[in-house]
Amino acid sequence: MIRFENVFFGYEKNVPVFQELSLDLDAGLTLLLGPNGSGKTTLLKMAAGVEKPDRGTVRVDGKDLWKNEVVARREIAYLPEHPDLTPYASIREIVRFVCRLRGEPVARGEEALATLDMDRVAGRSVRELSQGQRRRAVLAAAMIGRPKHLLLDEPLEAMDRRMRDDIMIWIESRIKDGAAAVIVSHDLDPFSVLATSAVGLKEGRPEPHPELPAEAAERHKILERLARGL
Amino acid sequence: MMRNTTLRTTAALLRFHARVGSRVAIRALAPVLAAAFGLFYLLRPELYIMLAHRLFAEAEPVARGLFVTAPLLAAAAAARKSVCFGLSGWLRSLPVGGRAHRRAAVFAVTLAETPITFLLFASLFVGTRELRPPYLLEMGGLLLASAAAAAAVVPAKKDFWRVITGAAAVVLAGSGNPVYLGISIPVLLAVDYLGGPFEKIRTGTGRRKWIFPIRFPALIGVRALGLSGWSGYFPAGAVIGMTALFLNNNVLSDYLREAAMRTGGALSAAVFLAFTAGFLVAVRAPWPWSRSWPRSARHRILSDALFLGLPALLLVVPLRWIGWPAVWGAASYLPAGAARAAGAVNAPRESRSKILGTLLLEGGLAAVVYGLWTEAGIAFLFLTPLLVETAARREQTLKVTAWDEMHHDAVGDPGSWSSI
Repeated sequence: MIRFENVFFGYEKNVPVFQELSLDLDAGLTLLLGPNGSGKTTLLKMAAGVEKPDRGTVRVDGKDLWKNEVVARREIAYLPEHPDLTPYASIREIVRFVCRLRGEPVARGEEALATLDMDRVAGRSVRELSQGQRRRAVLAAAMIGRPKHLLLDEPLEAMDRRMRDDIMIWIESRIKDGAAAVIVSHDLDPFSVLATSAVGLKEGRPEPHPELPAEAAERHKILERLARGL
Repeated sequence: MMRNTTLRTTAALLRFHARVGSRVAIRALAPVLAAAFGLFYLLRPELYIMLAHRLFAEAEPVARGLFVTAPLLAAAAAARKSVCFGLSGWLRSLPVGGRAHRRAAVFAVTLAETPITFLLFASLFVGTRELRPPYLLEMGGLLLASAAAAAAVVPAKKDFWRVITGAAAVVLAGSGNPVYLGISIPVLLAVDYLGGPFEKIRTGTGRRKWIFPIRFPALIGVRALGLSGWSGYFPAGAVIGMTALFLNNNVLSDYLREAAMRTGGALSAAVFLAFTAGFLVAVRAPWPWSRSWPRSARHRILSDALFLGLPALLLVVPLRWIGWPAVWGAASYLPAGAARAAGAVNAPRESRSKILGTLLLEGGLAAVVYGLWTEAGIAFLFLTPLLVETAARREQTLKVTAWDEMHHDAVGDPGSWSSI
């Protein structure tokens, strides 16, 4: 479980994105919905340990993300909206580094690269890759091991059809293993069936829906409303 | 009754560890002595006597402490595996606390180090026999240093503190200086207090986890700097040249001469660090995604400090030409200076434009202080963990994606560094 406790955050002083945010993200698939600029990506960054709250704590399975940094991050797989990769290392070097950090054999990284059809271009740096390939490279790193917390920002964006299917299969299998997947997506259809809960965000204020109705039309109606920030 | 039981168990634990430590020591004794005698005759006795004399009779306290630290830590680290193997098993079920387990393991490792401690005793005797009999205090210092080395390597709950404070205690106790020796006792107690209870040795990928996170960031740093990024050697070389000219063209007392050497040495290291860090900060952007990896801010700071500090060791070559005090000046400033430079490289954005000036100013002041006050070198060493911690805390507050969030896609592709 990822728990936000009284979190305050802003990129600039006096311009808060979140004030006194308290939220629990449990096992299952949680959709993070809201209009542009509502704080979805920022919330995901805080859950991934990319940005530190100005005040308050973020706990992953009870471990403070900023006091127990290594242990708390060990089970996190984060796919950012923009696949930022260093131009000073090849994709293979980056994936191998993530394997080492997660305590996984290097072969797992190679498998992940092969699954995403990246093995042939793994020797290249980010400069030589298309936007879709960059996202696949980051996704390959996220797939290493058996992460218990998937934090995915628009995971299907810039992916071809076959890749979309593979990603959906991976997410589904991780959820079956008891993982928590938090997904930011403007594309609701692929995830609405799998989603077990949803959180709507509007100007930094969360509207959690811990349980979604089983009936498809009703569920879709709620998700649409949250996505539009209504 | 309860107290008696605990005392009996503790005594039994100590007896057990005394046997383990002695056994490891006996096993190591023959190969260590054989290697020592082999080297003694291979290198000829005169060379050994000269080296022992240099180390125990002529070297400055810190230098001597550092030289003593290396073999003791190596011996302790080698003995640790044998001593601590199995300590996480049924032994933990005994009615003894985690700290008592750790102290007993430290005792066993100290015993296991005996062959090396014995060789150091012999070298102390050989190195000082023409001047004076070896002081009991110096021998006591070596014993304390071997215990501190054991405390530094036995796994504890807080590994960072036991390594840093433990290594500092070894250097101080092995220095042969009565004041430093006195300071080493509370430092050794601090190792015990800060380290906490015994912790299981991490197996499997533990070693790789520690080494690789240094190698990969270093690889990125080297590629980011390119050839021109190492131009910091030129101003550092200029400082060394000016120090040499100053020393050659002025008649100075021994005290002032040494002070000038120390200042020159520390300043050259500070200048190199400032220029290299300034260049690095310009070419290597923060990497937001990497912060989601299981790697702490302290790791990031330490790997940057090593990346900046290790190349500065090359300055030792021209500094040796000036004199040993210049080498010690640079060497004792480097850990703190590299930690500070790493902190500046990873500091929040507003202070980045000032990085070169700030580091030059701080380094210059530190070099002057070190020139005037020899003990400042020790102070700088002690300051290093504090600087690492402060830098790590500041690095955590860095808003790495703020620029992207506030500019979004208006400036092309903010998600990649390919525009660099």
